[in-house]
Amino acid sequence: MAKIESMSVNGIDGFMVQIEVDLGGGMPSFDIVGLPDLAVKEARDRVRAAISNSDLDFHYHRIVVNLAPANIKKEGSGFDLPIAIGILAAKGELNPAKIAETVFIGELALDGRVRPVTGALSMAIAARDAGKKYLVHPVENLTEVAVISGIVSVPVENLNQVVDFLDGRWNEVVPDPRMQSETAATATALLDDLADVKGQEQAKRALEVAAAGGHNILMIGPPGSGKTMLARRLPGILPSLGLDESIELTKIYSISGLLPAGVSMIQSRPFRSPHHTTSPAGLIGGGRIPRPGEVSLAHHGVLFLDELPEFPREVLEVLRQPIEDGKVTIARAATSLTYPARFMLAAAMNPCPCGYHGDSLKACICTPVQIQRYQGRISGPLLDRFDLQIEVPRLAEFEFETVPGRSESSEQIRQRVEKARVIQRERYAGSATFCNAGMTSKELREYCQISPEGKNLLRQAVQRFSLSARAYTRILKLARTIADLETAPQIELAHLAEAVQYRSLDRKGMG
Amino acid sequence: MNLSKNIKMNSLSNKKDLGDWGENIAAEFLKKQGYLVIDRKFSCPYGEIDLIAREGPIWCFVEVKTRNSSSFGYGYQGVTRLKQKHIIKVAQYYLNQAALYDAPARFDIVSIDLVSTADYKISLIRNAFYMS
Repeated sequence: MAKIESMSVNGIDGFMVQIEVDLGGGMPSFDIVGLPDLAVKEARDRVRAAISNSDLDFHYHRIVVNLAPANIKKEGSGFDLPIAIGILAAKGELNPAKIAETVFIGELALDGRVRPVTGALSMAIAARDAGKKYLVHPVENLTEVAVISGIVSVPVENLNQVVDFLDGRWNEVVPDPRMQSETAATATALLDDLADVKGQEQAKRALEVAAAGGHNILMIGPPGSGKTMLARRLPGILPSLGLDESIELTKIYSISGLLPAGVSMIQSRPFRSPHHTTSPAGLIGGGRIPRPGEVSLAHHGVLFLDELPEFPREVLEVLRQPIEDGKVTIARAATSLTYPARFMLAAAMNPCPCGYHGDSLKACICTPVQIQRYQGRISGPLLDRFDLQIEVPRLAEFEFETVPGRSESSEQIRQRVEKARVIQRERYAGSATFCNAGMTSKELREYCQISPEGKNLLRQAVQRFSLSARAYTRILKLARTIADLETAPQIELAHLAEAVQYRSLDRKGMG
Repeated sequence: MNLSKNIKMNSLSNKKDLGDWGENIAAEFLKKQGYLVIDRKFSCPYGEIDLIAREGPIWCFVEVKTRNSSSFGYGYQGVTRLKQKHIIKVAQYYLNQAALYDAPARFDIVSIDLVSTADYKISLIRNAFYMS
């Protein structure tokens, strides 16, 4: 009887799985119990072949493997290595003291090589927090695991190396200091700079406001006006990732198996732009073997939905929960998982099917009914969640050639955004709110007080554009962000006036 | 029984004779390998096992497969999944009636393939299959 500790992943966090191996008398058999899924059951054949092909003795007795806790479904192939070690240990040939302070993860190839697993970072963190001394893991996962201090990483290429390690024939690898310092460096080279976008100064300003307050932004404009180009440059003006944010994001990518080779940490904010044929499960996560969806891959970054009306309604409606809560909960019969999904939503759409409604150069060929139907594809509640709705007009012919040189760079804008975020962080210290976009109604009353002149201006706007109460609070939040950008303690008239401008759909009576 | 290498073809023309001859060869071979042959042609309502032997503490249930031509593959290839299931059933029956409930056990195959009228190849596969 041997006990081996291994790891699995639930949501984005690792949890300890105890693997008990019992060798009994009787007819030779090999059974795995404890809610294994198909990939875990298949471990039987991989383990048998890997042990025999490593010139180790595979015991042909009655082998029973139990995965505890027995009430949680075990997925994936990461249990191959610990099961193999368990069988060898049950014979009493391996050092039990060393096994007790080690966690094993890894998939086995038939020839005894160890293959990489997904989610190694989450597992390493959980193993360290459980007080384990060593983590035996596939050498391919080294870059992820090496950033975690407090646990000794034992990278292995094959089963025999694991046996050598347990027998004491192994020299501790001193972690490469470069790997740890890599995480400290946050500045990443920007490929997409806002300075490359000619003109569109109004849109750039709107992006700055959106980034400063974490507001969702919707861009409406004809084809080729630069909506996508602008959106791509949004992550570049967001504040740089903190270490905790970086680790959280890397966990998500590690579980999804999307961590690029040789990258130990994700240090820049993600930009995800799923195509409009994406399924609801692809967007929010799930599937038979649950995986994080696009909203989680855009965690701490930007989720960009191009051609918003082309997305099927049921796909857009599932976005509401992550937008409000900053996380996604996938409920299953047996269990439920939560993936973080705190993203900034950016979307782009044409004003009508042909795309030229309201364009100054080209005539629109759509009928009013067509336009109405097109815009009606986006539900009011979703539209409401875009704090900024701006029009992005096409530049007049050759204007993009004549507009003088480069305008402000992303880096300059980012510094202002960062400053505004610092003000917000101090303001909401001790509250669950992150930024102005997430203000509660109590915080709204406290931080968004306006002068009598301001009230007067808003009253006029409400009357003229027949704004809803919700639109009214959105304007207040936006005005707060604009004031923060100027480090103004109070919301002034100019801030309010600018905020009203960003509700272009309200002003047109749409939405 | 003729255990010499001089195989008389006419005496082996019959399937049953070929099997019996192969079993004798296999039993001798296992003895040389250090097995203790306990029982031969053990039969029960579930079927039959050619040889039951012990290698050390382990009970070995041995299927002997003899083939006089390789045109249908080697002998050990003739032990199909269905045949394995039958053998497993019989082995369970044997261990139960002998009250050997927790004894370690395994399944081996001895494959005897005639190369020519005067020569044969013998091979032993330990742990050939298992319950699944």
